[in-house]
Amino acid sequence: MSSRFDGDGGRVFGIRTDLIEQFIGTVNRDLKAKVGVVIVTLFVIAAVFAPELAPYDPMAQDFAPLQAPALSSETPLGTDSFGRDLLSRLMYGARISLGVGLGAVLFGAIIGVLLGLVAGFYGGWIDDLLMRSVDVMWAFPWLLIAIMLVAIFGQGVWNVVIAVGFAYIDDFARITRGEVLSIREEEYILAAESVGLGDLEVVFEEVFPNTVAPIIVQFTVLVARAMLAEATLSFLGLGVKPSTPTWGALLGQGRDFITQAWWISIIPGVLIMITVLGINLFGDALRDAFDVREVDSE
Amino acid sequence: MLFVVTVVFFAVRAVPGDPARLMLGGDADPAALTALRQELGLNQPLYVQYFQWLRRLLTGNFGESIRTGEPVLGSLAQVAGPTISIAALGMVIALMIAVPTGILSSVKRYEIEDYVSTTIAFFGISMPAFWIGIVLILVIGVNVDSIPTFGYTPIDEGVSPWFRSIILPAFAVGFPYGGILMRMMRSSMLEVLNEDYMRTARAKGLSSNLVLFKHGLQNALIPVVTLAGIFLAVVLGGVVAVEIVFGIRGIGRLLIGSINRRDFPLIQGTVLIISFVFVLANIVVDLLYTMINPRIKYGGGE
Amino acid sequence: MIEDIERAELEGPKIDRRTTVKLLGASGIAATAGCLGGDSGGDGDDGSGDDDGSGDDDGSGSSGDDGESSGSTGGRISAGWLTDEIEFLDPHMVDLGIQIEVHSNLFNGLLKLDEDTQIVGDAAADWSLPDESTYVFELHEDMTFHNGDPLDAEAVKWSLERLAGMETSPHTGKVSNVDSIEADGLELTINLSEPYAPFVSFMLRGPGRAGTIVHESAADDPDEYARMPIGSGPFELTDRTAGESLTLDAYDDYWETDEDGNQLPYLDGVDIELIPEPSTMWSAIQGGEIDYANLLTGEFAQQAEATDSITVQTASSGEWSGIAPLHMNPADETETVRWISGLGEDPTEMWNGEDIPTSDPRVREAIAIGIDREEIVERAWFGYAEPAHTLYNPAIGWLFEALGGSEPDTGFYYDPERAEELLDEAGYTDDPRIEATVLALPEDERELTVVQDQLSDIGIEIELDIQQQSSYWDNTYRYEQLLTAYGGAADVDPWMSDFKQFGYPNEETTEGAWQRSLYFDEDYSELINEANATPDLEDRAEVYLDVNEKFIEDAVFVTTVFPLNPKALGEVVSGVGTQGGLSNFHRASLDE
Repeated sequence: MSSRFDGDGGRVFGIRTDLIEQFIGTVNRDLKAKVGVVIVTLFVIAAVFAPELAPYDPMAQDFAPLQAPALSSETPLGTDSFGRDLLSRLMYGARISLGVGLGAVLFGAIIGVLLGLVAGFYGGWIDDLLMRSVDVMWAFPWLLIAIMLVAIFGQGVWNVVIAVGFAYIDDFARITRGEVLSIREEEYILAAESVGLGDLEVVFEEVFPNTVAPIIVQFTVLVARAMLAEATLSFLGLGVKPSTPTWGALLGQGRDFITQAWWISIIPGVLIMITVLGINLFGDALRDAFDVREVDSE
Repeated sequence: MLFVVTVVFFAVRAVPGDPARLMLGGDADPAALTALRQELGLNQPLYVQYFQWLRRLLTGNFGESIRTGEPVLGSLAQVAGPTISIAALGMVIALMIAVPTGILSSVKRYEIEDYVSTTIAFFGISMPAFWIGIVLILVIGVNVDSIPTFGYTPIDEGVSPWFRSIILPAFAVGFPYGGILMRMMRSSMLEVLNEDYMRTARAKGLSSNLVLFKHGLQNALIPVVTLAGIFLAVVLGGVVAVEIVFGIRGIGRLLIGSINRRDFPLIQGTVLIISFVFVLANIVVDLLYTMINPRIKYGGGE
Repeated sequence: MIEDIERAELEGPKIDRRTTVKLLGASGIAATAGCLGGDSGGDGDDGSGDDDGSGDDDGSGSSGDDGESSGSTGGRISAGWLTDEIEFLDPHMVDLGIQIEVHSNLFNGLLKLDEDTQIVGDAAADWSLPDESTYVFELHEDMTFHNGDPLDAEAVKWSLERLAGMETSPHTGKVSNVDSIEADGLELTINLSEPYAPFVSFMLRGPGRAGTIVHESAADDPDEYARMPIGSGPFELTDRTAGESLTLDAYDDYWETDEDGNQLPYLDGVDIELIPEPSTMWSAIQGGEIDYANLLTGEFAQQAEATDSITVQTASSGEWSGIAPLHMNPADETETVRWISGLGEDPTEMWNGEDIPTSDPRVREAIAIGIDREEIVERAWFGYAEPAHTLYNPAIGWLFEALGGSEPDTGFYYDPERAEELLDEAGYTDDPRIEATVLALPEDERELTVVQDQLSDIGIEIELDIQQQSSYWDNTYRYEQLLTAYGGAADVDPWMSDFKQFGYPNEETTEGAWQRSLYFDEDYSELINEANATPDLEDRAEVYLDVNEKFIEDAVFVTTVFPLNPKALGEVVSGVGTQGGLSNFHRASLDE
């Protein structure tokens, strides 16, 4: 099922080159994958270069409020209720949405993968203990966890990252553990152990690279979901600090003006949709490339 | 379960803020504050409050809301109607989207039906539920007078008004879920269609449709049922914001409101009930799973 | 828009000669004040007639006068209340405007605000002051509580004494200098220990609360009374569902009649629906699901004004808002700050050795004149506010006028150049000059977003720390932020805006008990106390000129705006009294 990495395939910046090759192959074959890659690339560029690309200061209330979008005007995507340029705000918003999305999943991935590796590799009571604690999280829907965490620790970028990412720990833990279990008794692992490599070395040199494909796929899927989660939290007023322009916050701020000024809500909503769509397509392409079966996870 | 109960209590109590000051107004007299805290039992050590709460829980008593003085269970029962209605109808809508499109796209793989269906599904999973709600209000609610854009009409005031009051929120909640379901449906159908027994059945000359429905669907539903377990998570995530968009007083709104108000007994009760339902749903899913899938039996294989 | 609204509606009462005499009478100066006008229940003496009606100033068309023809039609109004719960209806426990608005329909006070926000009799037909510290109230005849019990001087005495003995009431302090109360039939005599000018405002039904008359059943089961109170007002609370609705039915034996002798109220009842979301409230009034909205936020009020079938009425509820700057290191006055905070913990030591820019009056002034109040009104409030150049809001009409009306002689006026000069003088020349965090509530977000942009232009970068009420209130007393968004509501006497907020802390008198800014100044305290001991309004206003001058000079607090509360009436509703931010249905009627 999972592609088996023999440890000799080479790596670029620590990433296995065979996976990259497989991915490029898929993108060449599949139109959907191409669309996904293009969207994701555009999004990342907008996010990274927002300060250079944005025409105005996203916080400056320099224009008349509630200007409708008009491509020929100073503010092509219109202004919000304070007279701020929406285009600039959306570009800066991309930054935070991307940052929160990536950060949250990274947070979940690091903790989850470590837990999964340890649980799967050692088995026995360690496995029981770790997976039981992860199981507890199944008793709480992600939003509940996120709301509680924000309520306890307050609003802010890092708190949102953790609140959203917390719920992904069990996804990564489960997947990693499953993968580890499926290869635990393979010859090359046993061989590595018999040669006398330490546990840590075996786990990171042999076990981890062979579980990485499904983890990457899951990572992508969850980044999309994290962006939606961030939007929902921001909408509920539990997101990052109020003045920070995130897509979710922009969308939420437009709600009260929806009949007067539809663009404030609709444009960020469409952008969220397109971006998440792109990331999902990208994720699907990765999935096809690595031949990973879709896992049910939420 | 005790572990869950304990986690809930201490997590809720870790939320900073003082319900007493909130009740008396921000500029309340310090003496009045102390008196009210005493009355509410908030001045006792946390572990004492924990055991008191636990003892009452064991007798089925969830306590009373600090703000309203109403029993927590009563308050929950009051708002459960809209949430359950939206969730149930959302589920139905999701299935109505997912099952036909899932089957269609797997049977007609790589044909136009497949592309259309998967695109719809992709849109479904790429939009936040509350935003779908906003768009629905803008497009349908404003133009179709018979469909209200806010509020909830209980079912005892007539089925039709009830249905009209929840159709938009239910769609907003159901569509993303339908997208997830459809993708599950499609991939498991594809897998099932390639299984040996399906090929055998077809070779035996059973009509193609019969095979599809009798064997294919049954097996393809397994992961779908599994997913139903996590449906609650999706619904809760969507329904909280959707309730706010549509101004519906449901469990989601109660939860957010009680947290903002630091109504500790109400938060504890609400979180506990949600968790309980969540765990229960997962257990039911496990049972269903074994029922649908005769190949899996706990405690002994074939 | 704001321009279309009559000034009178915004500014509260203009002081004319008659009302001046009346108020002076209330304060015991005019010797002839005690003329008894109250024959058979009419408010003959106040001359303004339609006390609880809305008046016609706002162009709402039919109210009061032609209400009487439709008055007998009865009917029920469905009203939206912008909240998720009404916790207390026991007036002695109530501290939030949204609750006052409900109980103002269920109770009588000794006094009330008329449509011009003047203090007039409610249960009291008239009152007089034999000396500066004695009030004699003559009550109307034949008043009864909703359960049939008579409302006489004895009942009022019980109510006031109950309040004086309460431990958990936020209003106990308002009767703390009541020496003794005598009840004789319909005559109630209150002796104060010393002359106290704000006292008369405490006896108001709406914002005053202390004088709202509570039935003695409140003592039997306080919790139940707070939920389902027995009052004497035109409506009785007959049913309620927590978090959802309240049912108000007309009290058939209500004592008050209109000028033509018709029984009040006209309506059969009011069904209050709790609607916590501003956008939902707007959809509801727009779609006709409710006939009345007790509050629309600015963005929706704007849309409502453009809708033919909806009338928007605005009134100052005695609300003011602004930003409290931290004047000193809280750790320097540990004992006092401990008392103020009521948190049972020592104040933070985070400022030890740190620079507190706002301890410099030049910095405070720079902030105060670095914000453009007109722009805040337009951008943040959609026009539904008045710029606040001083602390004293339009609902305190006599003082507002005495200081110079909406453009007071001494006040904070936008002057960014001067602000930057002041910052230069104070030595803040870096970029940014000052960085600060402002603690605020979610409802302050719009206003502070505009302030943030304006202050940024003079080199002050502020970060918003928006917190829910529950944590905001505790944190305002932790003094961990340089700035705190803060305000007040229902302030119909200057005492309500300055005594506890800015006075010199005194545990006994509760002066300075709400200090957000830690402004400890004995001279200022002396001035406000002098004003409070001056019942004569003209003299009191004189003192307040000095109070205001000192307030502005020290830049004690950065006032921003006086919000106006837009209330929406559906097509068929008229005659709702919205003075003082209330929603009085006494004379409301349905036009078919």
